[in-house]
Amino acid sequence: MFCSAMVLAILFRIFYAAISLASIDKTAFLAFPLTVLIPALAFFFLAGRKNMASKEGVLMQLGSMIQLLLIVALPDFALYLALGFPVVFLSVELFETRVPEVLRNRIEQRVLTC
Amino acid sequence: MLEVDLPEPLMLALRWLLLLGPICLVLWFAFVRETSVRAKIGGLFAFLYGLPMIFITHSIALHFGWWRYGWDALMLNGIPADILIGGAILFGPGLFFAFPKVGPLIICLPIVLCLHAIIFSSLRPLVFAGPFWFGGVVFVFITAHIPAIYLAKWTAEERRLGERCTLLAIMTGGIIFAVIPSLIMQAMGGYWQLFDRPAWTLIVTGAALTVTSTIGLAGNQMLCLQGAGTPIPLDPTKRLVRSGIFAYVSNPMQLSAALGWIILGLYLHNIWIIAAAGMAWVFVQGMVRWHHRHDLLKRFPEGWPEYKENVPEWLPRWRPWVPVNAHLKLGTNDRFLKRILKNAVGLDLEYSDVPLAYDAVIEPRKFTGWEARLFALTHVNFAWAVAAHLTLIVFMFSKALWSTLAFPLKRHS
Repeated sequence: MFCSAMVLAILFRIFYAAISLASIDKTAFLAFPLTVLIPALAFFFLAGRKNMASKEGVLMQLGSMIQLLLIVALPDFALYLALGFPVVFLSVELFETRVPEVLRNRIEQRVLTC
Repeated sequence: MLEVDLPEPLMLALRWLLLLGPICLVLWFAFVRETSVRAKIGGLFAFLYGLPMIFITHSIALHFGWWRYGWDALMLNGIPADILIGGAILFGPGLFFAFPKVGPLIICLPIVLCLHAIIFSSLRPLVFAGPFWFGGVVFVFITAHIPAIYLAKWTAEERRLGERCTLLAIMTGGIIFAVIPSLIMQAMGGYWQLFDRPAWTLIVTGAALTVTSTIGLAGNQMLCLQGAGTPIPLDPTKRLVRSGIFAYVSNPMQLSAALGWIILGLYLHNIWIIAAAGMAWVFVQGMVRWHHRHDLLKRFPEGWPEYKENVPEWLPRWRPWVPVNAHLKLGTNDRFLKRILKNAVGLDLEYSDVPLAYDAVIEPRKFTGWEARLFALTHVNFAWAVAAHLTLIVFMFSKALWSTLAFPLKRHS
């Protein structure tokens, strides 16, 4: 599901980069490697990692993938999302340490078996 | 030197290549060729060092008009972010992985002389060369690229720990005081108006930043001296460090960064840079605590829980926590030191005629002379500890620099 969303986001960005190349403003074309290819590469690298050591690691992996997907899909907010990356790790940490165990196990079961 | 007009599509392709080329090169070596884990860690450190240093040196180049970049995409302080990142990758892990046995000077000299000297003036509109551009290129190589490759090499070979920690400290300072504030100002607005304020505010800010930076640098220094490692978890310490600044606060580097952003934000009248201190807290709550649980607790199961219980993460203790008394031998004539150390915590004093010597007992390294005096002062209170560490940083750095310049062929382990 995430991978399909990422592929869709990449296709949209390719379209806008191609338009940019043909126009006077080359910004979208020039920004393509850094704002699309690199995050997408990181996304697929994370998606390919199957042997995380802990459930916490898997949640961080998922959180990072969602953040990278948003960075590619929402170029106007990419910088804010990149600067806000530590919030992903904080969210997972708070979830692991503050959420009641019963609720945490239930959520982890739903999310990790998807 | 060539100066020709190259077609714009070629310059557009070159801009892509300056980022994608180094990435492909590094991925090739990291995943296809056999590159050791230590070499990969060294490569990562070289990239992280190169990033702020290229940013700072290129900002200086732009300020003095040595060159400027064309187009208006991905600009950060007038520097294209993709060229910044691509340069840090190429002149870091890229060249190190490609030529692991070759000295950095030998790698970089042909690039400076051949590539840059020949075609730099022909790269419009990618970059417009100004006067003194060649001197600027040499400046960037000396301060950014060559040290980055050395950092990769020394990390891979696990030698020159002192030099590695120094470069990592410069890297951290560059990221905290240059890159992150610039990114914040790019996103939220603001300007680097460093010299548009009254002189007294600049002096007060400089003094405040000196104190807060000392806290972070002291942490780095202690991890290097007593921990035999670096502050970065990928190249960790071999021992748990609990003395010096770590007797007062367990996250001195994060505390230093947070305070630094508050002071810098106040000086630049930028609320968003002040808010970055909140991000430091988020980083500690998220990544650092996870690292503490999954690394420090596992590696030091006996020492870490007691340390964590007694030493706070953010608000430093006024008096140090010392699990086992340290030992100081000093002369009976050392009255000034005796008077100050009357209030020291966790320090046994022995008066004798033997040379001054300090032994933290819980740490492996012992010190003599001025270093012994200064480490003893870290037992009094937080203010004395910061002052002692500031003096230690200057003193030990000067000693190491003198040793390197006076004895250049001496091998460090």
